[in-house]
Amino acid sequence: MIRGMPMPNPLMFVGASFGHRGVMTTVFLTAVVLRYTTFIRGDYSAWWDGGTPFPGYADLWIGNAIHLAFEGTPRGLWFSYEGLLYTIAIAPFLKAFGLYGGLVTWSHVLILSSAVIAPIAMATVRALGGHLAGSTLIGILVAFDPVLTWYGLNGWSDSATMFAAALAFLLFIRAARKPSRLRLICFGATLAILALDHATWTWPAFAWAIACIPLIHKAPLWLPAHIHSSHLNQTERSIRRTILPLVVLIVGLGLANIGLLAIGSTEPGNVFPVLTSDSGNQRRLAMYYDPNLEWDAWQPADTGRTIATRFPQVAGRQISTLVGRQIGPAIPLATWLLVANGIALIVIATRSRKKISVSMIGLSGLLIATIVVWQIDLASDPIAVGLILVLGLAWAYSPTSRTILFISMPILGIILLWTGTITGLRHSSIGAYVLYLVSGILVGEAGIILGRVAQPRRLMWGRMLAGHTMAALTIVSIVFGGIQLFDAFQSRLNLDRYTQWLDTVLPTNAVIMAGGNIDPWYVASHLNRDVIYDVENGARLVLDGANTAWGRRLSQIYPDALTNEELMQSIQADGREAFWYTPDISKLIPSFSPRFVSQATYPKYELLPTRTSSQNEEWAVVVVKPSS
Amino acid sequence: MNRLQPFLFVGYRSRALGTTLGATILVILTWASFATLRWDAPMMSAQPQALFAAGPFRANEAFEQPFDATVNYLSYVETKIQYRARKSDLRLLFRLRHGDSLEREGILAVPTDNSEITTVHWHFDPIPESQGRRYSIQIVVGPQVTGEVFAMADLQDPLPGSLISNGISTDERIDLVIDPGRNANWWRIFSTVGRSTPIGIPGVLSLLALAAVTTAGGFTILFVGIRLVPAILIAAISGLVVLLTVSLALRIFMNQPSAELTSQFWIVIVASVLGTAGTPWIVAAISAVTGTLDSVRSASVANWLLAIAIILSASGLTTSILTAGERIHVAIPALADGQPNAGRFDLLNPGISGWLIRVACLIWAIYLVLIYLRRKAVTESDIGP
Repeated sequence: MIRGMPMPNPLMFVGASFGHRGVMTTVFLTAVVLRYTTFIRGDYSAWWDGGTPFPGYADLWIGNAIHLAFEGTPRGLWFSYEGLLYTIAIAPFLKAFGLYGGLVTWSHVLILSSAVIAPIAMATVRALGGHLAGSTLIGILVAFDPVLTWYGLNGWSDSATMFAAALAFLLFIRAARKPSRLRLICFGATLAILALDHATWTWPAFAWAIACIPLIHKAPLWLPAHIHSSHLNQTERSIRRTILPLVVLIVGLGLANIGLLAIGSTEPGNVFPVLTSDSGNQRRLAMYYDPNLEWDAWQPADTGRTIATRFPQVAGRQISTLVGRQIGPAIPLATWLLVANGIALIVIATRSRKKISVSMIGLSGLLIATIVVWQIDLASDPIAVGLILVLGLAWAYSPTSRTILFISMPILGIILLWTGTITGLRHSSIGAYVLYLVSGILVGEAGIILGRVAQPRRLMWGRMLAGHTMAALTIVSIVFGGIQLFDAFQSRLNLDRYTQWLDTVLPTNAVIMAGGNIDPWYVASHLNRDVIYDVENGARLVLDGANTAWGRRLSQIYPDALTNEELMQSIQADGREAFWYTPDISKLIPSFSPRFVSQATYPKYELLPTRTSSQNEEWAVVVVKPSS
Repeated sequence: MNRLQPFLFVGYRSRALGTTLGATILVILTWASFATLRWDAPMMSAQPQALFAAGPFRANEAFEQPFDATVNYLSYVETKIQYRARKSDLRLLFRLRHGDSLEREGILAVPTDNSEITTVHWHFDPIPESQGRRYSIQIVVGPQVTGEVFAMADLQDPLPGSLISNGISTDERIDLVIDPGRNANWWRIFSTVGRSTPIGIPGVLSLLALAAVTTAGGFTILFVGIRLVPAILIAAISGLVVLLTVSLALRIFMNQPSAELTSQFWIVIVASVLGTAGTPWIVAAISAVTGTLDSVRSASVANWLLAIAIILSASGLTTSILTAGERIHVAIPALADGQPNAGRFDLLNPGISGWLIRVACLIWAIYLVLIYLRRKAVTESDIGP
């Protein structure tokens, strides 16, 4: 310490040393920690999707990957199953590490691929030259987003869609900044992955590839002035070059199409399997907008007709439902995010008032937003009108946000059309992601404006405060994640001890029944007893030591038992006694309904704690008995 | 010269012209807001539940239920029935009594041919002085009706008295499912709100006039150096601003049962009027203290619109935090409540935030249209004829 020098403030040191990479690394680690926590707790894994909305749906892709890995048969590679490339991606892990090792390794891959969306989002905003505050905001939003975490880890192919969509936005911006051949090809390839992985993206990917031809050609018009000045070489932006992503997309889909035809993964007569769309969903859509239409009377033209004639009348309701019932409730502190956007827009609008130049396109967006805002029903929640106001102003004031919104319109339009029919959180999460991107861009632009205001007036304290806030936010995030992870490790340790204790007290003829949120292979190997996994959702895995094949159901072991009662009786008739696996009886449900096979009504079975542990009062031996 | 005319018009070279334009827009907005203002809400916030069916009631038989009207301009009664018959021939005679006097009477054909619970709406000429009175609604099954009518009833005793079946009172807890309400246009809303104050309609009108004068005073201080704007125009604009504010505030309560009986209604109305009247004074005071009064006085209409849009947007978005909104369960498995913390507080009606944002959006649109026209006019004048 030099004499006379003031003692450095530790937070100041952190703030000063926290550049963009530091913040990005911290946010990525936070995202990894938060996702790893849910995996350790058993909330989500490659084999457990959390139990909603279709429990065990991930089995589809696991089963297909098993066929590919262990049998070498591509029979699960159908475009209509979705997750075509996702299935191909799982297979090498299963082949290399076996079923259990492969699924555990794949769970870790999912944790990383979901967590990396946070730095990808930050890099996207950063590539637009915004203030660090913008990229920090979007990083934290993505890291803490519960839907991106859920569908990123739960074994559904939507994890690949979310990853590819985030990557596509980044590569698009990078290609717009400097349209080298490599960047354009990478962007086109990512669009091809998107289109091949989820049917909702087929036509939006094409629309994006077509839109990027003029958008990249004319990128200096919409990129922030301070980043495009050094890349104004128009020969790089020739139409001939900017068409590359579309070419790559067509080639990618063409190769996949030839591959699917070659392995016979297409319906008879369908020579374009990669363009297959679900006619059932189209019927549902037409019937949703026209209740008088009947299922059997539907013609393909009806869908277009009902959209053209009925959708404009209910557009306000659809937007309200999508925002108020799906996107809004799933975003932590959603209204606070809108306020942050509002403040950023006010800064941008106030700063640009003297030399504002509104284009007809910019103005029309706000006028449409104004009409929509007056169409939305206010009775339930004002969040939809708030969002439309923010997006309308972002469209008018921020050309970069306008471009992001423009290229997102096809996919958001599809999501909006199907809202109320089949749109779920896994689909609407792209809406949340686009909102995050726009928020990051707006806050970044506002941050740059405030930085310029602060500099000549020597308001350095303001800049330091901003730096410290970023540092504090990211540190708080990782500390929060760390506490969560520590808590998850504690519960995992408790689970290990419980399993050891249970092994000493269970009879040798015990059969273990368990819910979906456990690791069935771990339980089977540590208790050395047979395990019936996820008994409330089909008992879709039975581990009895001799056979660990995925999807071996209880009904396959007792083929003569046709009902759930008969299956339970078959277990008893074998001289076996059923026990329930739970490390905490305070959370024990009093009864459950086994759903090994489908029935009109399901029998109830009681879960009775019979013997508690002296080591831990939360541990007990829980017997499964028919309800009296 | 022809090229310059639009430039002069939208470029606000003439402040009186700009103000006239603003006043015209205000007139249109105020007229549209009042013309479309309606309160079509039921009278009671907790309506009786259709828990069981009482009856059957055949041709010429009747059932009856007393209820207390809490609002003026009672306009309709809604009830639920089941009709079991082979053909759709149900006609019901409605009678609304107050004491011994028959207030309203009407016959309604109910097109139903199945036994599902049917909601029947009987609309009648509004009763201006209905508030505080006890009415009795009697429903008589038409003489030509071939089937059987069942009246849906509640067991929680939500209404005074009890269901009267063919002149005989049933158990005190049993009430007919009825949902009285009102359909009110802007004049009836104004009238009913005025009547529910101790000062009556003349008093309310006087207070609105006072608010308009106060607003005009504030505007005059703000624009004192602008001789181009006539005092009459400032007074007219002030009156319009107050009326527009009131109409928008009334609109917030369009779906709220007996809105004028809630304290929230009066808080919003009084705060809106006082806020409107006080804002020019507050702006003038702050400007005078900070020495920016001259800048404020010379600000263009566009900048004023921008300021209003910013204030409304900030208020609307901020108040959205103060409303819990409808509780939507999205069922995210790993979260304790199935959804993330919304960080919102259940203090305000969702309509307040929504209306602020709607009006903000409108002001932003007007502002940007003016900017666009001005920019276009400047560009065209630069090019020259």
